[in-house]
Amino acid sequence: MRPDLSRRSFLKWSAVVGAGAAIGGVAATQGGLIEGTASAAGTPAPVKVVPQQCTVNCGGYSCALQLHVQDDTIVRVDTDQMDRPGFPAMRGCLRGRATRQFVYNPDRLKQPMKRVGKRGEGKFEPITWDEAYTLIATNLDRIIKKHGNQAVYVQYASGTDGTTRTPVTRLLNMMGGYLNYYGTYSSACYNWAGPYTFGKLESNSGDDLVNSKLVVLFANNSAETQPGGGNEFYWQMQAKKAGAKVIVIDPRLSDTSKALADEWIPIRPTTDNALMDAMAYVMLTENLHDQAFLDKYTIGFDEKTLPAGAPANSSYRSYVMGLADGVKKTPEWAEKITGVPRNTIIRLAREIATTKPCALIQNLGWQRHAYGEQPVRGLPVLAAMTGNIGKSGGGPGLRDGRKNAPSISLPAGTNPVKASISVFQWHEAIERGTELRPVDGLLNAPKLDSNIKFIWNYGGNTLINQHSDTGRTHKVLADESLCEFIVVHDVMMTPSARYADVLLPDATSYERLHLGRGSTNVQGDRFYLGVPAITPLHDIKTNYEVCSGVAEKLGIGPKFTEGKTWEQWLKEAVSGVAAKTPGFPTWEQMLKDPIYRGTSTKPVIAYEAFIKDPEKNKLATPSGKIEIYSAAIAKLAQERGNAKELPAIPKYVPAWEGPNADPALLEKYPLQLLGHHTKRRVHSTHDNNKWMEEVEQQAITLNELDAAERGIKDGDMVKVWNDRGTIHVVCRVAKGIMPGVADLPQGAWFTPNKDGVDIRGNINTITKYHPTPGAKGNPQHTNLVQVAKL
Amino acid sequence: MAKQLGFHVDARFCAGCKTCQIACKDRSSLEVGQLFRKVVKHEEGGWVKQDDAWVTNVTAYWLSVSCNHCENPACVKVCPTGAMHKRAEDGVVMVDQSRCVGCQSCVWACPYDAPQYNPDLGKVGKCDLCADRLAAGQRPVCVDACPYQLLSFGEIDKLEAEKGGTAAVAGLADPKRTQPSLRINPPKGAINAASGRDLK
Amino acid sequence: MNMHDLPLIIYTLCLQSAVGIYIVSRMAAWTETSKAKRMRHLWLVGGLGVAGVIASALHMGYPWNAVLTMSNLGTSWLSREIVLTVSFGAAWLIGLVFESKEAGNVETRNGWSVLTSLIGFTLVFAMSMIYRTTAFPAWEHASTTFGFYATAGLIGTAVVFAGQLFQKGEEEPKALLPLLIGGVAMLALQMMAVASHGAYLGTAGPEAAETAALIAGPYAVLQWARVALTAIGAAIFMPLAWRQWAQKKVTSVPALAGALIALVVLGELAGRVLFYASRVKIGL
Repeated sequence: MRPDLSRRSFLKWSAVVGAGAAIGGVAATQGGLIEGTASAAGTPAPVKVVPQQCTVNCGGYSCALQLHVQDDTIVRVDTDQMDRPGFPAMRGCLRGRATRQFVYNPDRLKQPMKRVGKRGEGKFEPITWDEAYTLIATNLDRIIKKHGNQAVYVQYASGTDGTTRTPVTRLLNMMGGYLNYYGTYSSACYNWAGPYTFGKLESNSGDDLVNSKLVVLFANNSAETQPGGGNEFYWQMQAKKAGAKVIVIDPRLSDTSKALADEWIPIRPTTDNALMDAMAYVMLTENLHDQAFLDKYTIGFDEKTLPAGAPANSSYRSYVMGLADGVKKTPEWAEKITGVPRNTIIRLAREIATTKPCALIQNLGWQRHAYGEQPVRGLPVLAAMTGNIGKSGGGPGLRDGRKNAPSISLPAGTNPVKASISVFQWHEAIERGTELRPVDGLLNAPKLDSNIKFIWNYGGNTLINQHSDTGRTHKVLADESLCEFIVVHDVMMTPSARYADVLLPDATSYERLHLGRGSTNVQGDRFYLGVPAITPLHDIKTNYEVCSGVAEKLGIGPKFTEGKTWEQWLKEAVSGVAAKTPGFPTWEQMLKDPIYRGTSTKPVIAYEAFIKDPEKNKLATPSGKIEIYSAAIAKLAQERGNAKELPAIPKYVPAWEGPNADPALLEKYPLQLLGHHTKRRVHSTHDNNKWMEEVEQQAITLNELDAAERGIKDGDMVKVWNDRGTIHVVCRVAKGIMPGVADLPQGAWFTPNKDGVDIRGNINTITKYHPTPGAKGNPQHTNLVQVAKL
Repeated sequence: MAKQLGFHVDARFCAGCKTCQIACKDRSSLEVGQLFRKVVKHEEGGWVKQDDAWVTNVTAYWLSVSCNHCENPACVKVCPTGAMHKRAEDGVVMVDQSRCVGCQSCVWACPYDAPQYNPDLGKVGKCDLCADRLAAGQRPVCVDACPYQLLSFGEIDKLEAEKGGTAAVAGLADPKRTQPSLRINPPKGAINAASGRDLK
Repeated sequence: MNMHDLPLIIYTLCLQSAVGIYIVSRMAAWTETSKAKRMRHLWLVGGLGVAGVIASALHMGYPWNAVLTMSNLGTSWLSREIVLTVSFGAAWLIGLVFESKEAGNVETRNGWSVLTSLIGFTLVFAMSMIYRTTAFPAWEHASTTFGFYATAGLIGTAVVFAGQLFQKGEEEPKALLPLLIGGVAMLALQMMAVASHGAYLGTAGPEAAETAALIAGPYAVLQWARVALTAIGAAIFMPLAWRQWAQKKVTSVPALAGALIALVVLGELAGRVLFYASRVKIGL
């Protein structure tokens, strides 16, 4: 090695990770640290600015980044400054700005490897790419021949953008298909339950919020989930600046509430339906509700609008007034359940009913609960009772609204396999897939022919880290007789990567050509072309390269690639959209200016047409109206035999681990544990970013009263446990969380010690695998635990 | 009076995302433990149980603070070598690292934790208001970073005239100590009881 | 204890001891004429000074720039402290040469001692002002200055008195009464410093209150150690000094002498560790 070269590259690298100072003379000043790092060789290399975007899955749009590249190294990260009326600059948040700590992270996978130890042990040895392709192709071929295509599963993952994921499904479709899943870990209950009320889900777009007089946020912490400029929080802030009152209902004094709330109403997790039911009670008894709206646009609120065949006293009004169960859903009743003072409930109900227009907005936190289907359908009832649906400044009581961006992907083909399991059920399908039936949530097939035997896990950490009950997941995955082969292709040595049989290093989005997420955006019509900013580090390959390599081994190489490069596929995709979208740039234009900013400026008002003329513009529900009572749910619940857990109208259903759980269990585990989405990570991405650990150390937060009761001081190490597992983690003592509630932000990397105790603070160590009754979704905020000082 | 540059923070809407902190860290390639700009939380209030309900008056807010380029900078006063100095033309407080001896007197003297000791260099670094960016006609990186555009910089008198604000905010030192070139539109709950002692 | 404070603990204790021992020993030697008696403690002062300065260099992150540290005498107490340390060292060295060569007459040499003592006295003041100009409210008080002087005085008195107890043979115990009075005065000064600091902490804002809580809570052991050690030291010193003065003769009791020094120094060390450990910074 030539000393001058090694010194040069050392300087370069150390500057990247911020340790350049240690080398002395050359980089002895701050200025030297920033851009003079290549001056060891004389003149500094020129800095070029590469427009790129953050592609982590925060659920917002991908924020614009400007990467300063010197000597093929990212030396600084800047962001968008282009503000236009209605289109705020897409300024990256802390995570995007910490990109260098992601790209140049010591945990990056550097070469293809195969497992040599036990699954989950993390012992691997390097192999060649050719060996890797052969291993994958041989096992895929063998398993399909032996068990059929239902034995092949593409694990849910959101670590990288959609377009980049498509090659795997394209390849598998050519091989006869794979077992489908429905839903997502983010929104299983929302996307399942919402359509029973509205048919198709719509919302007023963010830019309509400025027309609201009152904004009430339920389980909505947009400031922390999507801090990037121009996302939902931006529009909530504009509403506040325009004079709207903002009320936030959340067990935590979230960052959103800190910034915007005129009033914060803390509530016990899993009990929001009780609060909403009691507000409905107040509105009904004080005659504050819009009966004409309910009569015209909804069914099932009153007995008279119940669909034929619905039992007597099954309307929402009857439920609230206690006609069915003898319990009036009074503020006193709700106070006991929710912990919200009765007078607050009365005041809130009056305020919501009398302030017009009022935007009632939910987000996804409350539907990751035992009965997550209920709040999703509950809030629209209040929106209907107050006549806010279809109005500017109001809204249907659903999530924040978005405008659609063009969606682009590589042609994946059609999956010959139609059977579909819930996204949450895969590990059950490994254990006993052939026993799953429609009553368990299996769709499009009476039963499965095989258990899952082959998993392809690309760019995701759900294989263990993000799935409930890591102890159980570990046992299932560790048994090689169950799932026989696991491919993991990712950028980091994640906890999921430890379970790979073949482990492949991927390029980050900054090292490869890609198209922006292609997902919907709050302010609509934004689209990106990502041109590699640097030469890929290490011996890494993209998903398309990997799938092409495997296809080659399977003898379908030419069929898979059609002789096209990745760039050619993307070019075709872009011109396809451009042909259908007036004003959409050409490939060549996107190379010059990779951000397409769109032109849509008019706010979207959800269900506007339906409200204008409900006869002509029926909703896509069976009745064509807003279904507060859903006969379809009633029928399904009857089939599944779980009508108590899955009522036809939204109800408060006490969670199996919540304030109304079995007293013996509550005695043992008195604290409700949440795992909120923290700003320092996006799910599990950036957990290993040291700048982010400095932003917020992974810790459980306890209310000061609960901490004092346990002799815990801020910064103490504590033990968090229930029957499913134990975590050792630092404790933060705070005022901004409701007594009786603890919070351990989700996404920390599962790190078991030799006794199986997680020492990083991964909440799934103690979450339960217990699918929700309707969506069969993940209830990961439903946990009872105990905490003690270590 | 000579020109004095400083920062304005609209803390009423700050959600504490810490993007400014990270952008600043990235710009100066700072190791963990060194922050030229930091975002700190302030909490007050308490909880009372009433029947089955919890009643609370807890409130909290975030403050983004870097060097405030004080008119009367404690760090400059205590620096034995003169490395810490106040630039005449715009009042920016800077450290000339070629003169710094690493005694950390400034670290002890600053009530805002602005000077940050760099153990690798054995010297102190701090916010220089992104002097290189200013010279290139750009804004400081934190100002350009705030996703909600709540940070501004400029001549402090003009900023105050245009946006108002005060540096007397609970959670920060009494501004009489050093006369910081910082104006904050205080959030709800930020009573004007500064921490630290009033130094006459 | 924060290990980064160690060089400063050593520096302040060494230099304050050096100044204290210098001044007290010069007073004790005021009327002496023999070279041996006039030279007593001078090398110890030098040794302590050198040790302190070496320790202080360890506190600097980039000591190669140390030569620049005297360039802000206008506002920086640290600059002043460094100039005064150098001056004290130089004056001490000249005095040492004078005494070892018995240059000039005793009055001239006493005059030089006064000058050196004044530099030392000012040095202790400068040292205290460094701490009083930080953003640690616990330090921003006159008790910091009193405390530093009390440290110098107590160690100075204890060492000079104990020095006599190490001597063999008959000596006329001339300085015993002044030493006794001085010792009591220094004890009173320290008690006053501690008491006024405690009273001040209650009035100086939330950070000072936190310091008070630290002193009363986790660091109470240091506070009590300092009080107990000093009290035991005083319990040895006072009757001994009184008896010797009354009997007009000095008895050699090296064990007690050693114990006295150890007790007083350990007491001051405990107090100094507490001083650093209990600081709480303003704001943020």
